Amino acid sequence: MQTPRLETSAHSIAGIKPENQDAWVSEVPEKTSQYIHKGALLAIADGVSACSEARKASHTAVSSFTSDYYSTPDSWTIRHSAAKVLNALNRWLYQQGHQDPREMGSWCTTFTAVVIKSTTAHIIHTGDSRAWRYRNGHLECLTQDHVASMGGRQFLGRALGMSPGIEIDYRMEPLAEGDILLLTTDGIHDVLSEDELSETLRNTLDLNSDLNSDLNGDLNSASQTLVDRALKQGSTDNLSCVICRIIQLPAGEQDERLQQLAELHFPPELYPGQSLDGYRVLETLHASKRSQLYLAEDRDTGLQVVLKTPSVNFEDDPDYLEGFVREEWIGRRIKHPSIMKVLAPKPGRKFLYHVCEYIKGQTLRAWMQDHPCPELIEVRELARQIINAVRGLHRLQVLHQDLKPENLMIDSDGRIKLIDFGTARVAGEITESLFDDQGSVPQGTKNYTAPEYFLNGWVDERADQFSIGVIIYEMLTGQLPYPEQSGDNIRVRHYQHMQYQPAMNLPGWIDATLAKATAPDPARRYTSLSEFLHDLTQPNPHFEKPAFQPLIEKKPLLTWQLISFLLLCLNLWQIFG
Amino acid sequence: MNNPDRFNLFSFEGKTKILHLSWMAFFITFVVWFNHAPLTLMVSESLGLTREQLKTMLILNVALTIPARVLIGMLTDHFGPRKTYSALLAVCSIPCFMYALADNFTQAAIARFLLGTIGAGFVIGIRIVSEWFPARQLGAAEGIYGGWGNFGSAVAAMSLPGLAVFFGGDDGWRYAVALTGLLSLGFSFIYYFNVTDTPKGATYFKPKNIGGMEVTSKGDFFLLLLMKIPMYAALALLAWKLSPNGVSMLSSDTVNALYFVLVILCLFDCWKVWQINKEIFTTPVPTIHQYQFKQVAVLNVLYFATFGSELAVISMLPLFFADTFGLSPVMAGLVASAYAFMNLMSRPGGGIISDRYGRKLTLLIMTAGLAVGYLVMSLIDSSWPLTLAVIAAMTCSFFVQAGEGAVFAAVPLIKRRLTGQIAGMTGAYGNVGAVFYLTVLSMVSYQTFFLVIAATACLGFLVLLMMEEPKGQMAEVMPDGSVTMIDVA
Repeated sequence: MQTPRLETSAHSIAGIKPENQDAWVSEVPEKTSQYIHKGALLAIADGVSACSEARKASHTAVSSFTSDYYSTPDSWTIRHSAAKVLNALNRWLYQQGHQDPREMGSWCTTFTAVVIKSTTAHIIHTGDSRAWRYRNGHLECLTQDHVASMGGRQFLGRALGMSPGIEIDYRMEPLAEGDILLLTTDGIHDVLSEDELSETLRNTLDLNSDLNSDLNGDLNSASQTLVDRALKQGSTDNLSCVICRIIQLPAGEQDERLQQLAELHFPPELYPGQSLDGYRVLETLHASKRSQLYLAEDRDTGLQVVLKTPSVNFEDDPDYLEGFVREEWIGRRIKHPSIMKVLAPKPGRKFLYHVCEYIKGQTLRAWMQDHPCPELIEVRELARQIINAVRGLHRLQVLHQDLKPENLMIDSDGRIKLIDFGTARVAGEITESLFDDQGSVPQGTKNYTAPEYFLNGWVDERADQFSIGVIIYEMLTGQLPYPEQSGDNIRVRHYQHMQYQPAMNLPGWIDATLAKATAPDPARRYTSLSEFLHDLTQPNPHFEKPAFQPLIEKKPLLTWQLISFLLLCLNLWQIFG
Repeated sequence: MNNPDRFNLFSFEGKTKILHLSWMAFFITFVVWFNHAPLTLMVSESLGLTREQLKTMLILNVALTIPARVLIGMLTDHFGPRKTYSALLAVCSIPCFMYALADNFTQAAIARFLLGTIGAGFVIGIRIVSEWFPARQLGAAEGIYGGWGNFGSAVAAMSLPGLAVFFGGDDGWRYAVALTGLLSLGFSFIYYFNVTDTPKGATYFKPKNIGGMEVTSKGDFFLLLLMKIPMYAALALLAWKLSPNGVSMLSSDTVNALYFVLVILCLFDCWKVWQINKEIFTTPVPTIHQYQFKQVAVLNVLYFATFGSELAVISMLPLFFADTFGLSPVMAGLVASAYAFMNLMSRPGGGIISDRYGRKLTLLIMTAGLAVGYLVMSLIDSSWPLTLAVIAAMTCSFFVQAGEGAVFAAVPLIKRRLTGQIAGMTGAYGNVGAVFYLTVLSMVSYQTFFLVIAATACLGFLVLLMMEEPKGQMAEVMPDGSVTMIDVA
């Protein structure tokens, strides 16, 4: 099991008002893969009653958030996905409100959502609805109301559709089995105190009883009781709540994933003529310490594909296996003309391998050997394609982390194809603790890996920029911008220890561009790949005349020598003068 | 594009070039490491050494290898195989020249002791070969590396006495030894300028948990601690041998200080093992990571008996033949080289046989064979025809070296992820064996020496019965060419 087991219940009534302007959703995806990557969603919205279209606003917010959130790429983090969706949603609501001739800002709603992914709750919140967590007899509010008081009266400070830009609160909370999550609108929590809420939950859910008994009825009665009690105590607003109980959390998840992997057999050495899960091997394309590549033919369709099989050297290395599986995961999600496609394996596969598209051509390494002195214009075109391919990955919040000439193919049409995502990092996985391997083994290739990996610095898209910079430098000069280090342990103690070797025979502005892209300190690199590409194409005026540099920065040794010499002269003059 | 399937031994390009240069480097380390054995008689005449001192020197030669392996392993992690191998070859030429220039027992003994370092070269080559060869060719490549490299001791035994005679005079042996030092120094440059650590663009690895062996159950933890003891005991044994109780090379104070240092080192080592493994006492290890350490222990004991006895025997065999049959130094060296000569075929052969007939069965047969072989060798005396004695030595060495090959064929199957550490520990046990056997030799007759080896081989045989056939899966190719998997129980 990789997903939490939950039960949910909700109740919403108009109360004494004529119209119910609240909206709610509790969505547990049926598709396991969607559940794993995007989690379960609980959301509640309270249309601002001063607005003419409050009901539409809250219902639109909840329904479009649900559908749009689940359409975001699997590789995105929850934070990133929610921010993108809510920004678009807010802009739309705001525009609706402003096109409305009757009133300004008439499409406003609060919005509070909880995404339950793996063992973590992600809380997304704006407005004065609330999310609570009930644990061990104690109820805790996880959100802060966005209200402003003015003249003794409280006003909603933030809500969707209120202004063109919006700030949304986001926080993560670890979950435990038996936790109860509760979302309420102000119709409930304005009249029921925290203690009353807590007491109602405790009584209706009979929380001292055995967890495993069938409690679904209780959960429904809890939501009803909450609403009824608030109404009885004189609530004047709409009343809504969503309750969710965490029955079971995925435990020992990594172990189980590995167990599943271990059930797929490692393919043996394959020879032409043999067939594996319906693919006939035609020839061995490449074999290295880490993997083998075979050209194979799909026996059903006759399509030529490449089978990538893991090397038996790593049959019990969990990091490698995860990387191998992640590669397929990424490859199957990314649709980009410059990125190798990974095809879905046939049903009932028994062995561990990927099926990749067959790219006829040569690696960039081979191309570099064939073209020791390429024209700038050729390199620029390849650079453009490489940068575009990598940007395609970055848009999906994926870092490649192992860009090198061996991982770039040039197909027979001269198009670059990015291959091998075995060491890629997917934002959605790491920061959200699906894989617990943050900070472990930065795997990459000597000379091409950015120094921040070794300095345990913050790693982001600029790390890939460094690798691209090195590759372009190497294409143009046949050299590396930084001298190679030997040994397994790369030693970089400080960014200043790396000395960029200026490229000979290149226009100064190209060299300056490459120096900037491969700056040891990521803060000195380009902020985006598009700027880098732009500077490769057009001379950046900043580079043409070097900015004024004080002598102490340009020639520190000489400066100090001069100062010392001067002091010496002064001393001598004092003594003998 | 080159066909990556082809493994053409006659090419001198790419990975094959790396393999060739690496086995040559290893070959030279063996020539240098055992350049004293065939020249023992000349050296003893020239320096006026007693039999006792000669035998001590044999032990000293293999002692430093045990700790040096650890050091060299770390240096290889740090500087890469290319620099480490070149440096080792260059640096170790110094004690080699020292030995060539030695005037008395102490000088020669110190030189031999320092030369023990060169015996640790094996691990460097294993590393570079594993970087260059894909899994499917690795077994063959490492077999060639190990077997052909070990053959260096045979070449030393065959050629050095002749060279010494060729240079002539009392100092002939000095020129022969110095020549191997020059060879080592020269090759260090060749190696440095012709080899690269990894193929271009290879993904490097940052190994985790360097320095300690991982185990996966509480019982195994204590077994590992138990298996650490012999490594320190071997060095303590050597210290005792050098004390006034033995050859009186060191004062009793120095020896006591050495004992103390060894105890501290041993405790430190155990503490590191604890650091890495303490989690197994609180959290159970996932099934995918589990393995049985007893498998490692069994292989260690077997390598103790095989490689340990090989190192010991190639050290003493020229002396043995000279003493038993009254042969000239040249003749004794030549005859003794027959033992190491078998390396070319039998070590890779052991690997191939165990691939085909199963690890445990092969090991059982090889161990039984070497027990019988050494038993036969213990019977050799001057009444035997020389030819028969040589045939006995060669037969025995076949089982010994095929056993070594079979041990190393089983090493990667125990726990793939820990192969490097398991191989390192197994290799260290080979050296421990050598120290142990040579110490035994210094105290007893040749006959008893061979009997002791035979007895430890019998012990190895019994221990081997506890080993479980490494489980693996074998792919079966059906008649229509499709691949299916059968589990090998």
